[in-house]
Amino acid sequence: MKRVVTLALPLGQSRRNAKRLALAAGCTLMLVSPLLWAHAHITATEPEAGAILEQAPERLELRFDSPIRITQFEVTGPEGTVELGEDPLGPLAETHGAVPAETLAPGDYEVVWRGIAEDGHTMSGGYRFAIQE
Amino acid sequence: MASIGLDPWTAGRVLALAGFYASALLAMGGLLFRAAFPGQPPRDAAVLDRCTCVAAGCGIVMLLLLWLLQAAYLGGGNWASAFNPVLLGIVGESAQGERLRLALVGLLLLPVALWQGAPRIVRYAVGALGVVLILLAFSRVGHTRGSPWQSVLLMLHLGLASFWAAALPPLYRVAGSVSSGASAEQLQRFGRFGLLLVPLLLLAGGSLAMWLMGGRPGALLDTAYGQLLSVKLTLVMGLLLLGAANRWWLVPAVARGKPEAPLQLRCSIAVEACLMVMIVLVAAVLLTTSSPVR
Repeated sequence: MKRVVTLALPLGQSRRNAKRLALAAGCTLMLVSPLLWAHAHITATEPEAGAILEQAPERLELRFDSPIRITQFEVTGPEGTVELGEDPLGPLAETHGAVPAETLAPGDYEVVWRGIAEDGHTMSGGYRFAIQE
Repeated sequence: MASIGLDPWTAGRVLALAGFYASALLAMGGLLFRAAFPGQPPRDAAVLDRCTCVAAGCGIVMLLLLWLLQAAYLGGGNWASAFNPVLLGIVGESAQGERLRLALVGLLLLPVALWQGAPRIVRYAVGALGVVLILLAFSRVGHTRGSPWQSVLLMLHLGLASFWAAALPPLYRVAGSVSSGASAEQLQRFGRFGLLLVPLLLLAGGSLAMWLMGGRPGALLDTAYGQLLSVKLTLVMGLLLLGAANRWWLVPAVARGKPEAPLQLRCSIAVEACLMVMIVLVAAVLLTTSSPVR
């Protein structure tokens, strides 16, 4: 007598298979997942955060690991808000720089910035540095 | 847990984003629920349609408010920046602007899809287009941008979540009038939907979360993003427990005609709705303030 092979599975078995498939798909997604750093992150500042400088910096800079559009860049010091000769607000870029209009006087300074990354996330940050007398 | 430190402008953006998410999910889900349960009594269908239209309107208002608040935040946190054309333009040109435009069109299409004067095929096509545009809008901002697989997972996750969220108000009403066999049948039918909906929802959301955390479950504890995600997961667990209780205990009790079961079911649905509101709020905080592991 010939044996008939059928592709149809009993209901319980097809459910078990569907569960296994879903579990395998989930595990695969988790395992193949690369390390994702979706947002932009600040990688360095110029001068460094907390730096105590002997000379006034000619340029202030923010560096990111992916492009960001800066919308606020404020520097405050012993004489109040520092006027910037070169405006860092502009297009998407990984590095944003600002040049003080005049040489910075000795004292404590704070840089505050805000921006929007390529993926639409808004970001903010700040750091301090000092210039010795 | 890492402190989040919400300033008033960030808190405003979180609330506006949560409002947009909740409204858009309810509007989309209302349409999906209507398509999945076509045999509703005319009065219930009219209430659902009205809720869908109101939710779509609220979603549009929240989107526009979010636009202003983003500009205000980017300008340093003040109302003058909220109406600064340069900052509004920057937000408009960004990924957030793309989300705004897609969601706006999608939300405007949903009431059109409910207009009974149009042929059914046109209504279904317009509704499907509206839902897809809104889901696509969600995927345009954040980690899913530029990643087709993650976008698909997010769209699937939110599409299913919207169905669940929008089903709660009609089910709450039905639970209050279960004298008819048709109502009990509707509750049981939603329970059968849940058997497919919940595993898919968890698979999509869980896979997306693991992907974003770099496949490292430890990130749930040692990163701010993971800790907030843990709060969301705890709330989701509560939601699942309630869903299971409804599916296997309360709805069968209602169908059997147990006198106190309808009130218990309504309470359970109300708590489910509260948990969903909290989940949306946590998701909005996640999207606004923290980033995945680094």
